Amino acid sequence: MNRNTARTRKQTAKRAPERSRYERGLSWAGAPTSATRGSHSKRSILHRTLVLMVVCGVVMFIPLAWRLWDIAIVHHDEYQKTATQQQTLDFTISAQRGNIYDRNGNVMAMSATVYKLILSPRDLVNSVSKKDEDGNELSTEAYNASVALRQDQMVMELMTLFPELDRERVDKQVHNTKNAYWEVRTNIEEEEAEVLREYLTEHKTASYLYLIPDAKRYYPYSGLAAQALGFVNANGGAYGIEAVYNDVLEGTPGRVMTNKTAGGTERFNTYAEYVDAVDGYNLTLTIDATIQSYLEKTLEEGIREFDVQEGAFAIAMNPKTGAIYGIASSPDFDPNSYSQISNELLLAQMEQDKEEIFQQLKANNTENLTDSELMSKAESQAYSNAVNTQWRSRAIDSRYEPGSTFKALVLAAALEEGVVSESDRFYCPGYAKVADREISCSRKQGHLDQDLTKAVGNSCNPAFMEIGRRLGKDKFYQYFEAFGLMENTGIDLPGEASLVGAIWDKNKMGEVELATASFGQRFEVTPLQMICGFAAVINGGNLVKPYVVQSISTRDGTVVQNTETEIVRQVISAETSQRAADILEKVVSQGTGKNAYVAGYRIGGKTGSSEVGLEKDHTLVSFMGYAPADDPQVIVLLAYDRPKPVSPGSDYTANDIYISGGNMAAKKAGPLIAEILDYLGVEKIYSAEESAAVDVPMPSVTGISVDNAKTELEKKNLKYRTIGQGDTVSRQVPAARASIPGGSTVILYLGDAVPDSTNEVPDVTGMTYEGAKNALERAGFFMRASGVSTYYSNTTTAAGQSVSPGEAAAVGTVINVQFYNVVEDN
Amino acid sequence: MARKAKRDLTMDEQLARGPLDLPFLMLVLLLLGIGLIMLFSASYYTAFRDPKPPVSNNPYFYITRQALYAGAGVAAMYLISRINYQHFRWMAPLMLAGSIFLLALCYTPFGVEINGVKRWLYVFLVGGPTFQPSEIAKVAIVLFFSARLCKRDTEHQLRFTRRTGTGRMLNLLEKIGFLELVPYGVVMLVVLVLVVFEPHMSGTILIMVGGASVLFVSGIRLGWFVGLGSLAGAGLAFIVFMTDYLTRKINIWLDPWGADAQSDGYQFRQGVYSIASGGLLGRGLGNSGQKYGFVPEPENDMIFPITVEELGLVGGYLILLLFALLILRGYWLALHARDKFGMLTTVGIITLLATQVFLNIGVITGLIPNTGISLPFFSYGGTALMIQLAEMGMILSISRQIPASRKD
Repeated sequence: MNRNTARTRKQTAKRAPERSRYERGLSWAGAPTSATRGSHSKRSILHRTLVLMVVCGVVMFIPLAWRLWDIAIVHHDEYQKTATQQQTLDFTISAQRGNIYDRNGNVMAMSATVYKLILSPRDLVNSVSKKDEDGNELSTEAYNASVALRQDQMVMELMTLFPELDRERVDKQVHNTKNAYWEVRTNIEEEEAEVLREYLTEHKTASYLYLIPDAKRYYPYSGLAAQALGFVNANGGAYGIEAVYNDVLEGTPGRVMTNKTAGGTERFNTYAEYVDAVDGYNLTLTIDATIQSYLEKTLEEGIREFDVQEGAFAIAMNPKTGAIYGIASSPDFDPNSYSQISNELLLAQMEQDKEEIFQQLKANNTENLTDSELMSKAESQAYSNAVNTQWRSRAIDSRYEPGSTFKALVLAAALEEGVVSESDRFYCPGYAKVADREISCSRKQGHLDQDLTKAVGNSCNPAFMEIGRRLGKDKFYQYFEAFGLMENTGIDLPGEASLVGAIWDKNKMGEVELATASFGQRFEVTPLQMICGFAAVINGGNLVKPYVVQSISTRDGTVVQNTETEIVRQVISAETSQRAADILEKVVSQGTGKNAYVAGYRIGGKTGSSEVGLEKDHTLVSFMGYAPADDPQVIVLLAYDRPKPVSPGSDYTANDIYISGGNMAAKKAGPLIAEILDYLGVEKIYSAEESAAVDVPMPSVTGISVDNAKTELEKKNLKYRTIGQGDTVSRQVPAARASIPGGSTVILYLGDAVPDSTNEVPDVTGMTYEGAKNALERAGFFMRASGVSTYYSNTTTAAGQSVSPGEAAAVGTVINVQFYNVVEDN
Repeated sequence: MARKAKRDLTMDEQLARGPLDLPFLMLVLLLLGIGLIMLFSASYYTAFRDPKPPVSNNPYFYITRQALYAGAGVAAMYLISRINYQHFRWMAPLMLAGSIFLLALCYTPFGVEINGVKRWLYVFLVGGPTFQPSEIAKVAIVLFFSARLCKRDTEHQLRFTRRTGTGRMLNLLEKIGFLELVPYGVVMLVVLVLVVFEPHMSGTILIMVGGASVLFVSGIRLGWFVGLGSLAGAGLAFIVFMTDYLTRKINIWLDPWGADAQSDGYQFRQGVYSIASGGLLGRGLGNSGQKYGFVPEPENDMIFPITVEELGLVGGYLILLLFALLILRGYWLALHARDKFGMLTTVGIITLLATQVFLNIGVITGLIPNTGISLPFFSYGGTALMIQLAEMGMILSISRQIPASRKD
């Protein structure tokens, strides 16, 4: 060992000069030997470089080239498809839905762009960074915590933006991370959307919270003509005109196929394919918003006044063309929020309905549900019933017994067939014997002897049973069919009721059936059929097809389709029609329809009261009226279903109105028809009796002698009384040129007498015509009577006045007083 | 500097004035040109959509910058090619020390942090464009290793005293060649530690590859490569399985179409769609659809899929061919270099380049897991491009001193 070491040292010493060539610093550690570190290096360097050269310059490229080939050629189709898919922007350009205008071009339905706010709870989670601020990977717990935090923040943000949202629901939705599409809010208008858009940009939420455009249908008149217009849901038009004319209204959506960026924005290039959207057509209806509003107002008033339980309906139509001016059903709804129930009666009914269904379900609880489950079941059932009720257009999709209004058709048929004439006389003992039965008249004591006109005016059942008998079963049936009561009218509104079982088969019709059918009982038609049939009676004999869409036009106003009147058939001759119309006019001027009388308008019509089914205390009161009688411009059917009797079995309502078409429907129909005619610009034409009461301008008599004044006033059919002493008129009430009804008594002040400026209006309700007139004139007012014909009887009493009793009014004011006559009809 | 007449030049100086290798230069310029065109095509939409300064929606942002740096880089390449590369020998340790210093600076407040990663420094320390000191470290390692290893043939083995256990141990280590590796190992370790903790995975890989290639060619026993290579592999595997995000990268690589890779495999899948969309002949220059925001960073690591989409497989292959030719020419220059130093330097630089190409395109085609390496001459990155061109300049400088073949 030692020797070896010594030798090493010796060798080291020997190589000292050599060593000096190397770093001396290393000498402490070891000494260089003769062997170099790299031996035979030249060759190995060459070999190794060649190896690297081959590896890096050739071999390395082989797998790369192979992979590229594999992707670009072998899997070309597969991958390219996905790439094309994600790059293709294929979207539809929604076509603007056409507007709906009323007869005068008022917008009844229009479309506008609104926005939806969409939250993608899934992408909200994805938006949370998996790294912390320093770029380090977060642990699973930390990541979950920050996701939860973000979600809570989101809930807070949404609640701040929309405080009206239900917090629980928002919470649930935000945490439903499987969902990528939740409509936070819909129907966001442009103004609000603008604010939101700013907010969204500022908070950079585009990947999970964003706005998308949506179309909204606006109905500027809200509930007006709701059932006729219908509404639009996600699938397009769902009800009414919106549904029937959906194809016309909706237009054809366009399409764009082009490339897009990852951000979803369109890339403009030459490959793009554009197909323009074709906007929907506009519709112009025959419905007149004003007339429609008259109808709806009348329905509401009547429902309130008569305590009507089951709703009401009304149709106004041009009897010659079949153009529907208005069609209304109550309860109605607001198409702007069609699933909401706002009608109070309907809400009350729904509540009741719910209880009933609940009890029913409870009694028949096979699934052993808890009470609350049953209740919610009952609730949803009742709601769906109620919603369907308000969407229904009763005037079209339900049937009713037309009652006495049908007598007009029987009359026309009998006149046409010549089985009766105006000179025929009928005797009504209060009942009629048919086969083995006694069928009673509405007036138990009987109408006794009467001519045809009177019989119609009295709405006498025995008389019509006789007319029906004379007509015979075959003819009755033939006319029934001819008046269009066996087929749907073909109106361009949806849901005309099926007529299966609406009337007996011809061979099942016996004497009794014929007799009852002759006064409109025990068979059913739809209100629309009835108005069309009635129109045929009075319009010259033509059955016309009703329609609501007058024209279809493009957005720039070019009419592409105009609806022409379609005469289905001539049912009766023009002459017969005239004769029937004359008789029907007298129903209003003298008969059961007298409550519909309006001076100046020759209104004709027929009342009707029908028992609905065999239900107790369920009467449907109706009035079919038209005017002017000689040249009908409008025909109106007005009906109230189930006015509530004061007590079961009573014939009167709580406010003492006899439940019948003549006392209810006719009373409301008169002013309605007058309003419509007024609006249509039909001139009033007064009969001799009427013109006596027509308004006259007050002449100026101040400053002249009483005698002269008297002649002046007589010229105008005015009476006078004087107050004060003297010969000369110093003041007059009313002032010159004021319009007052003819026959009124004006006040002339003589000498220093000064009239009061105002006075208290007396209560005239319940007074007779003369009584009311005198009472008002004593107080310095004038009376303009309306509501009942000039044939005032002792039973005619004032039912309402335009200025409430006890209120102060300027002396000389003309007070409108509506008269009302209790009629016995059915 | 007045130009000296040829007769006044020393032999060395005369050699340094030799002609530079035209094929190599042409290949570099060709790739650079194609790279610039593709960068413009790939980047303008991204730039246009980026509202943040300094891009500010300027579609020409990337291409203007890159073109400026390319110009400067070509100038630098030429200037460096004029330097007698023998000077690099003494420069190498300085450069290494400098790059270690710069790497260390990254950990000081001077370091520029982007996305939580501290890889950058400003050129003027407090301002100017950013650069990665690891880019410089790569070259420094190659140069330093080459400068030392080229003297290996004249470096004598050491003998230690056998009297002590330590001495005997040292003798053994010298015999198996370990002692020789120690200085390289130490230098490598220092640099790698600094790079790894930035963290900078791709830089680490490249520095290791650069150093290893020089060691390999210089004749170090293959056993060491096998041993240390498997050790490094095991270490890497250990790190991968211990780090969540690296494990995920591996998983994405293994199953890039799986549901698990829904968000993570996005970049890869978009690249594949892009390549596939190109087909054989491509959609035409400028017609890529994937660059419109689908492929992330189309101006950077993902520029090659866009290139293939526009120029087709044919274009892609052509570019690969150009790279292959450049690499082959590089090794050819190494083989013919005047001395061992030039050879080793060339091998190191070319191997670095080849590795970068392989790692970039390998990642894109799903051959290897994602490492995040840019494509030389193509990807956006001004300072990186300049350094790349400077490296090419070094090779050109070496090429000048290749003795003319006797046939000429």
